[in-house]
Amino acid sequence: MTQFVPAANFNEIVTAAATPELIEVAEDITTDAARIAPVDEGYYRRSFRVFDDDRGVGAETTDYAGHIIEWGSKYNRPHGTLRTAAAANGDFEPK
Amino acid sequence: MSDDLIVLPDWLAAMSEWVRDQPEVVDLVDDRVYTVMPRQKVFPLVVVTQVTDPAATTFAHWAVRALFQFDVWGGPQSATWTIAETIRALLSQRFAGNAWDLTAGAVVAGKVTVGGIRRTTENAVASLTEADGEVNRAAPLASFDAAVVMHPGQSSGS
Repeated sequence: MTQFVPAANFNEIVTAAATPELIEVAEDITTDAARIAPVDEGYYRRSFRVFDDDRGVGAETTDYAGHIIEWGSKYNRPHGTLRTAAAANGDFEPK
Repeated sequence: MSDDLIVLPDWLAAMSEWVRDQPEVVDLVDDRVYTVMPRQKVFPLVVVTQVTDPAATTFAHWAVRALFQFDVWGGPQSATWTIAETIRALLSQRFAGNAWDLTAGAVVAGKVTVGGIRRTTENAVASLTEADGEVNRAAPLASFDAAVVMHPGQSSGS
């Protein structure tokens, strides 16, 4: 019988190997988010960026009102810009 | 309309109708489950939004992975939590994996993935964009989103 024993740093190796492609997907998400943003111009449309830090790899907005546009408020319907862009680039699942 | 043309049901209408019909939800909010915030508000209330519904099938226009957002407005905070969690539990444990013949259309729900419940108050959110008078009207809010694989079902009348 052959037994697979993962290396002690298995998770780090897999993460490092996957990161470039994850960044590509995140870049696609930011591109799509800018395309479907509910404004034709302005900071929000330029505010999407890819991050790769202790949160992992992802896409985010740096606009101070970005969470209102994403999630809405009593007076604004949620636009879900980033979630729509994420869903267009894979099987997005809420967390 | 051609017999072989598949037109998908209005997922948002179906989802809001289904949630509105659940006895556990009726006990908590009566029929106050909306798809837009009503002008005359009686709290607590629930607003359901369809964020998107990309295709889950590659070659057939048949199934989607619909993403919904549920916002529970009102108070006290414990009530908004209870309502949000009740809907979240119903989606995961009752809606998922079943066929539903609704006024809005017959739908079949597959896998349901629910997100965490975000709890806040509207004054904290609105303070960035609204006038002072609006900011003072704090409204507890509990929100979560849910991804549902859905496809058209067969109506009992067909």
